[in-house]
Amino acid sequence: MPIEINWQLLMPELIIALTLLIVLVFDLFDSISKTILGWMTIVGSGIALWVSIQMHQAGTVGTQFNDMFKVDNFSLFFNIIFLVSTILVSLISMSYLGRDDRKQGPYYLLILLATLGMMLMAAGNELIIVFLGLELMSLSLYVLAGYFRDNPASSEAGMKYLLLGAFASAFFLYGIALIYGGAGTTNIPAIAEAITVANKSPLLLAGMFLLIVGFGFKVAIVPFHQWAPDVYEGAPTTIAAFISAGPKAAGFAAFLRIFMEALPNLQVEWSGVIIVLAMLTMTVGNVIAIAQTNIKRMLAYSSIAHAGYVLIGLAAANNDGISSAMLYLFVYCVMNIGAFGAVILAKTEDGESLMISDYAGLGLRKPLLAMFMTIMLLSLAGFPPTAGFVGKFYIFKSAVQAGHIWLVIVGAVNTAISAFYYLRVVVTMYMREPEEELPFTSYPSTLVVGLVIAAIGVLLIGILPSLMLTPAQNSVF
Amino acid sequence: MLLSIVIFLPLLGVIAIALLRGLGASAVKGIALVIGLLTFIVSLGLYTGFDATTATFQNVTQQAWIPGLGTSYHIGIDGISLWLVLLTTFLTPVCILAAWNSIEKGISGFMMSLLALETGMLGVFCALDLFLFFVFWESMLIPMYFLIGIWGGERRIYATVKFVLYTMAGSALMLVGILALYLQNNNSFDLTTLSGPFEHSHLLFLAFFIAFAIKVPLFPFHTWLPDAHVEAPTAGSVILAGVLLKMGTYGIIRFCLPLFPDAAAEFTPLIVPLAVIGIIYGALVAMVQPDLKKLVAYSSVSHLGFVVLGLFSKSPAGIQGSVLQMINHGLSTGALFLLVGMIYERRHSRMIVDFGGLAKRMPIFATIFMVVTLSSIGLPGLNGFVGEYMILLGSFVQGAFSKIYVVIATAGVILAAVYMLWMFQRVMFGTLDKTNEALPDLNAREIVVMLPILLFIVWIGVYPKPFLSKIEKSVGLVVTQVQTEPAMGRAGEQENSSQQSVVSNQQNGDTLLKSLLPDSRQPMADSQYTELALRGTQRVQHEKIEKEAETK
Repeated sequence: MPIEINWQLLMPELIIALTLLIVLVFDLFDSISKTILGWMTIVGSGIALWVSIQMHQAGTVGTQFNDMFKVDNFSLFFNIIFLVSTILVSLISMSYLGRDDRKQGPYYLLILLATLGMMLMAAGNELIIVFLGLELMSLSLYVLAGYFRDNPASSEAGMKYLLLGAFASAFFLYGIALIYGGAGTTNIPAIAEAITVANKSPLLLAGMFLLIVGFGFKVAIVPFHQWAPDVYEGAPTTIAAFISAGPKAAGFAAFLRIFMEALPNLQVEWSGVIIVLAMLTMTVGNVIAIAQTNIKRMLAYSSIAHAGYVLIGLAAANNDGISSAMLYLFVYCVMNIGAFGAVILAKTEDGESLMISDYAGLGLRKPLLAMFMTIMLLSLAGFPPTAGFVGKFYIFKSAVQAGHIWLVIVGAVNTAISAFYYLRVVVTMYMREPEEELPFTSYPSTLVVGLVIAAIGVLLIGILPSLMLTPAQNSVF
Repeated sequence: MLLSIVIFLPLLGVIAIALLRGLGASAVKGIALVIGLLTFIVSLGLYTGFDATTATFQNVTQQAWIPGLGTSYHIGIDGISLWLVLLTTFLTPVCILAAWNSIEKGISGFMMSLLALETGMLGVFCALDLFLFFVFWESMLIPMYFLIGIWGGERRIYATVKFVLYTMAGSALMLVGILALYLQNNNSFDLTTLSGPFEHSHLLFLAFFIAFAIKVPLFPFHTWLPDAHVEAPTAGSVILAGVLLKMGTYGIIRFCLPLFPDAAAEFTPLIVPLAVIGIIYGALVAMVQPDLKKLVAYSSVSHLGFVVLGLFSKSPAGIQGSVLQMINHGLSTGALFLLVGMIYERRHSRMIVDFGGLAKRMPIFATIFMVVTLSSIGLPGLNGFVGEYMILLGSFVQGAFSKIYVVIATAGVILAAVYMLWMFQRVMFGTLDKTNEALPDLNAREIVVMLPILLFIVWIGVYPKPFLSKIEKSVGLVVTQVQTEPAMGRAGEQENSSQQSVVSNQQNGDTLLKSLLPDSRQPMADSQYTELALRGTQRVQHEKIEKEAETK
């Protein structure tokens, strides 16, 4: 059977693949300054982003490779999330990696590979493709987490991530196998057809729960979250930002697509589980975050809690639920990368400032940095007029519409709890005196550009939410 | 359009200060003051253009904002919000002027917070869309958080975090309530299209009421208030007492009463005792405070108890009195905080024991303090009396609850006289401590800060008609909304029984009421209440003066 390939449909993926080849080739030449590789990544992702936006606006829909690969507004919206994350992470990485040429090439290559994996996950119309994308993404991330080889914490993070990630992949693959056993196919729409009221075989249910476990590990849902704080703490800060953003969104993209499109007839079975997981994830994430003294660990637990908010959208299981989860993931990626970027910006001569107490007096000493940090934290806490507020509000709204009042009450109370630890950082920055006078270090311009983009994005979406809300509402499959 | 300018002009000031902060402290202060005054002047246009003959919203702007969420930028004012808007625009420049020399670090941040706060507060009073209301309600938290946390006293961090967490806990519930209302309103957040009866109205009422009760604060939700008030800088305390607390009572009158009348009726027997406990408890605790600022803070708990009592009397006089009392409390308590701030700047102490005999050294200060104290007590002829009298009258005559509560609440008025005058006596009279001998009297700037407040204190006290006439229609609408209910029959009965008891009171020889009520068997028109209150002013005047002379 000849395969006709519609190249136009695959444009964003092809551009990323081409970019990573270019980065690979340029890394071979010793005579070139390797800082240019970062700019190549940004330009390539930028073009892919532009193409994705165009395709999204045109409402392009189509399948490729024997119905295995599906391009629709859903996958294109997620492409936008991934590419924006990649661009922002590249911007904050440039100064962080320093001028050491050996570090640059593999770094951007792996980031691009991970991005390609994410795009496959969002567009996978076939469980096998989703798995391929997942592995491509995860393997790149394992290496990136342990990227600073001479730093024991980084190596430990990489190892831990690899071991637990491999477990998760195994669970996921086992789930796929069981679903194949029950439904006789791995094609997502075909699975939905195969599952009827009459055919709810135990194989399908077991497969579904294994998928939940697999995804639970990948997107760090309680009780499958233990790896996240250690990995975030040990991994290079830029990679912590990256892992917490794009890959989480990619996990949710596949999560949403498989559960809403392949397993809608099992909704009675999974929706209760998702509700309980959402409540657990939000509460555990937020409560443990209160106790953290290290800002990276605090952001790790906060990112666990945010996965719980997104799960509310899945639990709502209606169109608004999906689009609210998508909007929230977009907003979350931007603000979380922004927050990690601000952590990098707080770097002093003798290393990074990672303890929250190190931020004392920053409000007066580095007003610009403190302002960025405050905007991101307020957005994470969900204060208006930031994007975080709109995203959370929309999620709660969709859940109330679906009748999950209690879930929303738990979510709203969690928002109040989370305000406590986010504001504590703000308190430290503005309201406590520094213990010692720290030398002023200059701001790296690329990092500031990344933060400015993130801050403008967070405020703009907060004030004019329709900019992203309408596209998100048009992206439900 | 005018209203939007009023709301967002302060935000323009925030941007201007952010861009021009390099020009130095005095430029920043100048910009802030100019913007504050300009906002007040523009807001006067709302007053002159206000049509008092209708209860509908005026100066309405409606603009699509987020169609995907079913929300629009919908603002407007009625007689209730008009005064709160004016109070806000009036107090902000006063605060800017009061903070002129007392803020040492980060003056630009301080002024930006103050102006951003103004926009948030104005938005809360003007929003006619539940989503917009919630946005403003939450966004005003941030500047207040900074005001207390950065420029506050020693325990400022504890106080500001407590303030934010209390408010957020309340607003989390309100958010759920708003979403549930949205579903029952054809997927729209528009307040003007909301009409009951709603499903689960009891839960919805509680979701809103608890959020507002925390803000008011109603006993037992009041514990954040003394901390926040005491630790906040003077300007923060003034705004907090003057305007922020009113957002709670405003919310009750705008949402709780008209939207859920049946639930409001059922919870009245629970809420009124809490209000009365607040009145007495606040007064008693205020009495024993060694700290001036804490004393004023607890007096707020007591005063706001009166406002809630008046609101839940569901009578025209009671609610009108409550709205007026919101303004009065904003003026008097705001003024008290300003005065405490002025003395603190001189002496760096707020402890009552550190003072005594100040009247000799600071005659202007003492005079102004006296007027404000009397206004806070409710001396006839000053603003506090009109509001409290109307509240008590409305609650007693037409209140939908037992009269015993009103009797107890009235004791709160006497207690107020006790703690305020006792405090005044200890601070102003007696022997002058050596350390206080060099204290300078108020300077010109401080007198300019106080004079406009005094003007309104006397004006409302002597001639409240221009204020009440604008409030009347809007309150009348709220009253009809509270009473037109499935529970109509019950409300009617209550009215009957209350009239009967008025009669019996007359027979008991209550000469005051007999002479005040021309024909108590006839239902009274709203305006008659207003007049009653005015006549009462003159009537009770000499009794009150006697009482106070005794206390002295």
